[in-house]
Amino acid sequence: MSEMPKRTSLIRPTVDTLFHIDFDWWQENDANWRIFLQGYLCEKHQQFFKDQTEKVIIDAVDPETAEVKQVDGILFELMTHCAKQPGFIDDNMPLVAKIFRIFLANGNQPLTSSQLSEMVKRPAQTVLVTLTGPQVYKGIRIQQQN
Amino acid sequence: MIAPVKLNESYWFDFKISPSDIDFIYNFLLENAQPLTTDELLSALIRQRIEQQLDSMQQQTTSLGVVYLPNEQYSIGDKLVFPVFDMQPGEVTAIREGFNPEFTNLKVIEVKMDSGKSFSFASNVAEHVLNHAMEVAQDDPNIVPEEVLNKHGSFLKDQLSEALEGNSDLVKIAGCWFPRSLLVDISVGHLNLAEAVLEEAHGGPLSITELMQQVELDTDADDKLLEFSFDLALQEDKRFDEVGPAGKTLWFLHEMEPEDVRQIPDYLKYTPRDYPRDGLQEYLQLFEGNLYDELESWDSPHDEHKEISISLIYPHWRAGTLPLSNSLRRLFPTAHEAPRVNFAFLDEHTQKTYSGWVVRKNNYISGLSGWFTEHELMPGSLVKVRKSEKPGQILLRYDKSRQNKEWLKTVLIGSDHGIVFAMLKQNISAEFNERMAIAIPDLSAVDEIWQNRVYEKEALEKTILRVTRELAKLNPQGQVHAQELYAAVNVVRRCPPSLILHHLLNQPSIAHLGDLYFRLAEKEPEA
Repeated sequence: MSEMPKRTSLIRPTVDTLFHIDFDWWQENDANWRIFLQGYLCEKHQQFFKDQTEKVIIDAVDPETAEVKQVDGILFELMTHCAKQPGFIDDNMPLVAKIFRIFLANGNQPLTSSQLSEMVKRPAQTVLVTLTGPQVYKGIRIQQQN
Repeated sequence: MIAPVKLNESYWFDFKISPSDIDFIYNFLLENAQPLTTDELLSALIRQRIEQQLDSMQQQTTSLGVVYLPNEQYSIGDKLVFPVFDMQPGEVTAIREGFNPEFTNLKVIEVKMDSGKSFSFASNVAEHVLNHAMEVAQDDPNIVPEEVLNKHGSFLKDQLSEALEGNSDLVKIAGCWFPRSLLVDISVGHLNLAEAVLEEAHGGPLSITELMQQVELDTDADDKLLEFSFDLALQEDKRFDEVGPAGKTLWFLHEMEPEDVRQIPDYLKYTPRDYPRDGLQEYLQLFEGNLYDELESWDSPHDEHKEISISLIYPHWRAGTLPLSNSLRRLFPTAHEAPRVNFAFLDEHTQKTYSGWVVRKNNYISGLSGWFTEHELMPGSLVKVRKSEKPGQILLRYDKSRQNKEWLKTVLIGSDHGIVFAMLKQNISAEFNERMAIAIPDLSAVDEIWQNRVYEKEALEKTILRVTRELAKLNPQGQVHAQELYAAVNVVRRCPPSLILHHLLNQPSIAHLGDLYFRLAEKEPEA
């Protein structure tokens, strides 16, 4: 059975369209994505992951149930620890960098341009035009509905 | 998220006294060997119930098996229950070293649940909320006795009181409970002695301690228990009457209580009638000055800490009483059980005290006959009362009138007991309510009316018409004010103001002129 091609929405995106970081798309389209992400780690985790060239799997412990799941170490630490550190999101950052960090800090929960506009203090239409331009910035794409 | 164990929110809402609670209370009273109040018993019961519930919760959780805790280490084959999966059981099938920079020495256990599914769990993790999941939440307000009493105290007390009152093995006096079987026996001889002591004290009131000092009881029993036993023996003997305000037990010899306390004075007797009260309250609110009548469910709202000014109506003036209306009830001493409460009036001007009685059943306050006479008060005089700082004492005063003589409605009684009003100049001593002031020059003639129940024998409508007709003669317009009529009708028979208003508003022979003014219709219908 042939693999289904990933569908692209034909519906014109609006300020209420949901966006997120599409890590799968990013891995497929950017070989350096892991190195890029390492730059976002806090000092402690940069030390921990500095000599790891391959994907590091860690045992993530659920804070409520203590259930263990094996996850990508960099992504996990980045989103559960490093992105929560004070100063991770700075008002003076460029728009796309700020949106990227917002997604990392909220655990990559999808957000609309309207919601993002309030966080970045820029018009929703500006956010929408930026995220739907011909170039995909840092894997931020429209969330595909299955 | 699994929170620490808490007592079910509805536990205290659904609270019911069980037979084991009564057993606990019985044993608690035995251990303490002294009578305790409902509040003290409730407090002990709440503590006991909380302890019981905490024990039971701990037992429930541990009876299902070993509870999985992330800080423990496990071996293959260990059987565990998992709080996050509603205490589902599972067995440890494998153990491996875990890898996570946040946890040193992390171990991962593979668990096969009884449902067949497998999960991985962390072990050897010192810091995790689940390590405290099965502990009792110390901040749960439902397990803090003071919080429980604050939030549910009133409801729980009602439940407990009802259960205790239904238990014949327990006896209650002045709010304290004790097992009947443990009471000290008080002989008839001791009770006879108590009667003699009270007689000597003009009937009382005396506290149980004062009585016991004179009635020597030869026993080794605890003082409090002895007092309680003596109190109960007095309570069960009809010769004695408990007359203390709430929280205080005072004894009086029933026979020596004033006649007007033992029996409702004739002037205050009233046979309740059924009549629609809709819309009457708005007229009652128009009364000048404040309206306090024990026969009304409505009276002028009043702050219990402020002075109340009462305009006397003839029945209260003649009986030496005040109405125990809703507002006055909050001002005067009350009791848990005693039907009659003895207290002291203190005249603010003369500093003389007068013995007062709150007769709770019939809603009046007795004891002012002497004071009314001494100060030459009359129906319509304004009597002022307020709470004293001394518990159980009521301060009493009146304002002296600036004039010595005034034109007043004066009652004249004919030989046929017919009532006539005339405006005559009368001596006055106290400030009065102009609408309600009535001079009674011939008291014996009015007394004869009450003794023979002359006006009680006729229909109330007839009395109202008769008095309206007489009052109408006092002004050229022939108008009558409802408040004047209320005071005047009460000179010959007891009647609440709303009933008078009801008749005024519904009698075809009376026309309403607005406000509280009425006049007889042009032509009265034939009788």
